[in-house]
Amino acid sequence: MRYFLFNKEVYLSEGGTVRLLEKGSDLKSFVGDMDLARACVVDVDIIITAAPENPVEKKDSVLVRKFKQLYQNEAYIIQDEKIDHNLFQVIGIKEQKVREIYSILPPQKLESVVPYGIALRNILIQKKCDLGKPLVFIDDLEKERLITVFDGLKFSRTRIMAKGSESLLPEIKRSVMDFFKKIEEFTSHKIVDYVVMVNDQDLAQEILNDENKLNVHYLDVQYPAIEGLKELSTDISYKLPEEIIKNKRRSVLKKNLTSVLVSLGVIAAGLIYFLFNKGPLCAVSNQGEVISQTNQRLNQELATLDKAIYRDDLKRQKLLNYGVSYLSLLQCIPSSYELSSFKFYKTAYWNFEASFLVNPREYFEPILISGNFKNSQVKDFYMDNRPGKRIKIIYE
Amino acid sequence: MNKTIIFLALLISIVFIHLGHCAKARTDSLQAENVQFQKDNDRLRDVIMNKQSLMKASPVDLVKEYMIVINQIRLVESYNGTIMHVQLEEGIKNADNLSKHFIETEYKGVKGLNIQITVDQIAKSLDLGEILNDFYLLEMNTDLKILEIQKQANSLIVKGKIYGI
Repeated sequence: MRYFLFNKEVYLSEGGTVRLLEKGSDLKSFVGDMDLARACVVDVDIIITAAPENPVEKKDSVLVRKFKQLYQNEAYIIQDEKIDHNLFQVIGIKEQKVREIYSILPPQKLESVVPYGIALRNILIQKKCDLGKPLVFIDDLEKERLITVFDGLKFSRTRIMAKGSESLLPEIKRSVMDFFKKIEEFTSHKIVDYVVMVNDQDLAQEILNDENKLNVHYLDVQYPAIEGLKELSTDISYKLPEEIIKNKRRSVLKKNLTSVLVSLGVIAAGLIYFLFNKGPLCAVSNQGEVISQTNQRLNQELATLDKAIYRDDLKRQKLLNYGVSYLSLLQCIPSSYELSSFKFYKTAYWNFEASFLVNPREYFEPILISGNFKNSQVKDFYMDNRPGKRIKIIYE
Repeated sequence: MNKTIIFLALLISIVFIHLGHCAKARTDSLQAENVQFQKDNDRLRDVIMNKQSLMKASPVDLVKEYMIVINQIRLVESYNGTIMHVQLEEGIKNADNLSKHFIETEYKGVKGLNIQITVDQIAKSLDLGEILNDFYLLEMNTDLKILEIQKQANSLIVKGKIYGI
């Protein structure tokens, strides 16, 4: 991975060393066969503005409108980051600048392009610098000094000072005042209460000599923005409009493809369930057809057979001689009884029920028939003032 | 658009799942029917096997068999002086079209006709045993099957079924 810092000159970090690439040098030759790169851009314009967080389309529209109100002369590519509830930091890089970067570094090799302020803020957070207080960072590069003011997540446009031009202190104060003027409605901090951080020890001492009341700290990182690029934690990355459209198209295509695949999957799941149940239905249906045909054939066979054998079958069922049965029972009945009624009827077997009444002025004698008939019952009964016996015989 | 596609896919899937459910329910129902049919087939095979040992004979026309039964009864009447009258079980004495009264029997393709014979008067020379014996002989000589014989007070009623095609 290579890291670039784009200002008037370009700083390239590779393999732990940072080189300053002079203007006009063939930058493409430095890119060569590199794998991936990250870049930060110093020249950015920033506004802090309020906008509704939802819906996203409305938020974007408000942020773009407000940014364009301030920077209407040139084409910008803008990105935003949430600072607080309904408060956004809108950062724009001139389209010309982005095109310039992408003309040197091909899009497929450039992982992200971020504002210098974000890269710097990243290293400050990593180094656990207190951003709760306003902080002015002076990045001492080879030929220039970059002054950026931070207030929490908010940061100012970076002021660039050529080395040795004039005293640094007024520039620091001017930067702070400008920044606080811009964000006064969105901050609770006072202008007087700020920290100055420098990445050059001599410069830090020099500032202290000029103004000993200032709270000056030294950060031991030579190229803090480049270091901040190494472990980026932001979604912001600037791309060319056509690249954004291409990515959007790709994303839409991917979404559509996903939808189609999901839809096909859903249909396939339903279809599989249907086929899974339809298969056995066909098998059972065919089996049922065969069984039903067999049933029809057997019924026809039985009908033909029944017509042929019913006479013989009837004969075989006619085993009970009613006359003999009746007379056999009468033989067991004493003469003191007379027959009242009888009935032959069929359940599973033939049943013979007979009722006998005692003749007037005769004894009510016992009737013993169990020896002659296997299944017989004798019960007493009383009818028309006459006692009697009811006998039931079952012919199994 | 994508949501519509997924929604339509879901609808189609739901239709397939519904059809699958229907197919499953139909399969279960058919399976139960098949088991029932199979049991019936087994029963029919047993019945056919048992009946095959019986003697085969040509079936008799039911009207003709009815006339035979009536003739036999008249023969018994003339022979021993008993007076009987025959009617269909529903109480119809002289049916013009007997076939209207045919019923299904336990034999497939064989019809039945329920009749009722009422013995109005028994000859003095006979006792009930002999009359009952005559009915036994009537049953043995024809395709009449006696189902019930009942004697109450002075009447003797015999119910039976004549078989034929």
